[in-house]
Amino acid sequence: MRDKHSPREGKENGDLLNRSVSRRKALSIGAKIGLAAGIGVIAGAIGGYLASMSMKAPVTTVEKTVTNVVTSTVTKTVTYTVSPVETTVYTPTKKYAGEKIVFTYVDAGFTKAIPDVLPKFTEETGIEVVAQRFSASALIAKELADFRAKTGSHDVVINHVSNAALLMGEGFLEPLDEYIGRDKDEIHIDDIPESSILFRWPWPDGKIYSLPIHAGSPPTFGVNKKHLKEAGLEIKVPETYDKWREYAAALTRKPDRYGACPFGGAGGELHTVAAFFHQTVRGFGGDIIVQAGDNKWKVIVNSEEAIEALKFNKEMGDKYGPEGWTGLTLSEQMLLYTQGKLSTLITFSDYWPRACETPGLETLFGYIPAGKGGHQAMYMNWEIGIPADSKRKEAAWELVKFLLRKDIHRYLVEKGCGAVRLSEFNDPKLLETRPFYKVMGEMLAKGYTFGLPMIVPWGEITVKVIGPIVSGYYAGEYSAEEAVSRMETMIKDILKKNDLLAE
Amino acid sequence: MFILLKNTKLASFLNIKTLFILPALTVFITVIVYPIAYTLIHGSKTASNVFSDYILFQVFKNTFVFTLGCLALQLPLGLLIAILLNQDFPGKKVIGALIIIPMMVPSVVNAAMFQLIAASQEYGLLNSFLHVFGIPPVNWIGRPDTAMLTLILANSWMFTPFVALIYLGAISGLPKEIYEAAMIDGASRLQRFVRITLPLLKTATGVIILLRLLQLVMFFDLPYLITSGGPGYSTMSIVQYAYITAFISGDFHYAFTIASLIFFILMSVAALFFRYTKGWWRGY
Repeated sequence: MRDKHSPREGKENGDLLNRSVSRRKALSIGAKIGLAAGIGVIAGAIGGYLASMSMKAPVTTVEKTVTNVVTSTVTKTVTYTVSPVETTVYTPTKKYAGEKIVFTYVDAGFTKAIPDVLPKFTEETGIEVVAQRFSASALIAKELADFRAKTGSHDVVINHVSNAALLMGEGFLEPLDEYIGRDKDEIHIDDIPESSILFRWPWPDGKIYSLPIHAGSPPTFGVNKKHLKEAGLEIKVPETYDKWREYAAALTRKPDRYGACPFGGAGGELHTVAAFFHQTVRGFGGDIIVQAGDNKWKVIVNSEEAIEALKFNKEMGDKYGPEGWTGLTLSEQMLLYTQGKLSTLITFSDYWPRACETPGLETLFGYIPAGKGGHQAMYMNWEIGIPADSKRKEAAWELVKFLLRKDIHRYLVEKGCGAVRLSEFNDPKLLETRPFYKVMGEMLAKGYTFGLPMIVPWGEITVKVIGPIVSGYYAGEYSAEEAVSRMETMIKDILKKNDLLAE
Repeated sequence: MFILLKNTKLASFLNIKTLFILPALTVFITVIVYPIAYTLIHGSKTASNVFSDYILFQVFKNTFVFTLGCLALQLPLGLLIAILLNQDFPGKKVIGALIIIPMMVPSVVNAAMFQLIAASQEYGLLNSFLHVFGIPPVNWIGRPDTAMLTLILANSWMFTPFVALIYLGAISGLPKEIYEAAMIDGASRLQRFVRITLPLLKTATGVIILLRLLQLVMFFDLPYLITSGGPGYSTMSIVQYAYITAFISGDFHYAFTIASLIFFILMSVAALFFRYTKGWWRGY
């Protein structure tokens, strides 16, 4: 009698333990798996290649010497008082050696070089830094959750100024006045333009809760010099919105070249589309909300100026911009510009270096055009601060000082961080590769910039109301009148909910 | 004390077996019941805002359109794929393996991929492909209608294989005798499909609709990553709106009210679904 566990019996009965696979079957299975894997790899490679081809900008090699010429009109002499870098009074202290602090910041282009300098900080102070990076939206969500729970799990944070009001309003940030007063020479507070320090803005208690570490704004206006010559236009940046419209009309040669491309925000970046709209409204002489009394605000967005601003941007995009301009990201706008397909562009200092580094491309930089409201350029930045629930505030302040120290911050600027110091905006070496800094510094010094309303729900207003409604208008969902009316109603509801509405 | 309580109802409740569940019950009350009750009590103050919230109506409409659109595409397509995979043809196993690859891609990667494909007229892969055939480019995420279509396609690319797998399992389990009998009676292929296959697949269809419904109503990643809910509010999902309300506006009470609303609506839809599809669950 055959043993039921014999190999032959097991195979016939399908007994897994005794089942044997023939060499031919094993090779067949192996070959099939290998073939499937190979097809997957080839498909992935083709897909990746096609994706990169569609995104790649053409590279041209130019054999002649290229000179970037910056022309700007200065109407008054401005003298900057700058503390000399070489006589920095910063003395590393080992007082907090052995402490460990948590540094939470956004994962963005301007923070790429921060990990380079952290080891130097540890070497100088003995303070260990645990760095954690998040995307912009995840950052604020995480911070709010941790701050509300008072976990004390962050010691130094970098936040966008649009969220700063929320963090300050809820008492999540530590006032820095005492620290700045004590160490103002070390951080050269006079070298930071007044308009960029939060305590100069109308925050109710007048305290400083954070300091600027990166400023991609004020945005600058750039125009392709070669295109101006070809079109027979005056070689200068258009000073007004009407002049910009004229230039855009003369420069547009669809589908090869576009005269202008406003930011439509269809793919996201609602803060940015709201900020651009705010900038244009103010340029046309209007605003979104204005302070009317002690921490009370009046909503004035439902105005002729706001309607005009919306219509202007839409007209510029529809008539002189590429098809689907509303869906372009800031990077894609710059890609169009560096490819020579876009003649004029308003964008941030994060993106202009790409234009400056493109061989054969000469850009003239100038102020944001003026309307009835004059030159109005938004000023938003990223701020560094210390959470109120941090248990290592002194050690945290050492890191804040270090990152804002002139030599360290200069290094960060060279590696992609935006300038925030007057000395940086006027540094001859930086101006060679970033000529737009001169224009940015001038706009700040002349007061052509405006900041965000420092109210707790401003982030909510931009993301929930202004951003979506403006991008919806550009996409044809509303008329301009409907858009501003809806904005007015919704902003009033939010201000009322927060007890900020002036009756 | 137990002697005093002997033979009382309390004594029968407080027996040693009941006391063993006390730690778990304490945790349950502390971690789940208390926070929900607390938020319900405080959230009820904001419940009336629901009726005057313009964005809420928009996002409900978007969720409804997205859910219907995805079901309308995924059900027939999944069934078709399942029927094809149920046939015997060379390379069937390879094709079967390739078809389920989209299910294995994380949704964040899927969103990034569709953003590259559909993102812009100038640089999107899809428009480059259409350009080869002389078709003018489309502003896929810049228009409300095409933005929603892009999200539906992105979700369908990922989950149609899931639908197909469930249908395949159901189809391969169908009794062959019924088909043989129908063929003897002279039923055509179409008649066999409509009169036999579809009715026998009611249970599988019910399972798919229910599972997908619950998943689709909770969609967040695709609109968040591809369109950020825009243009306007045209692709914002209800969950995304709850997220913005909680973490951007800082209004956790109202966000919980929205989340509760989602919960009650889903429960109602599921209850109605079971009520009106009783016959589907009896098997065959």
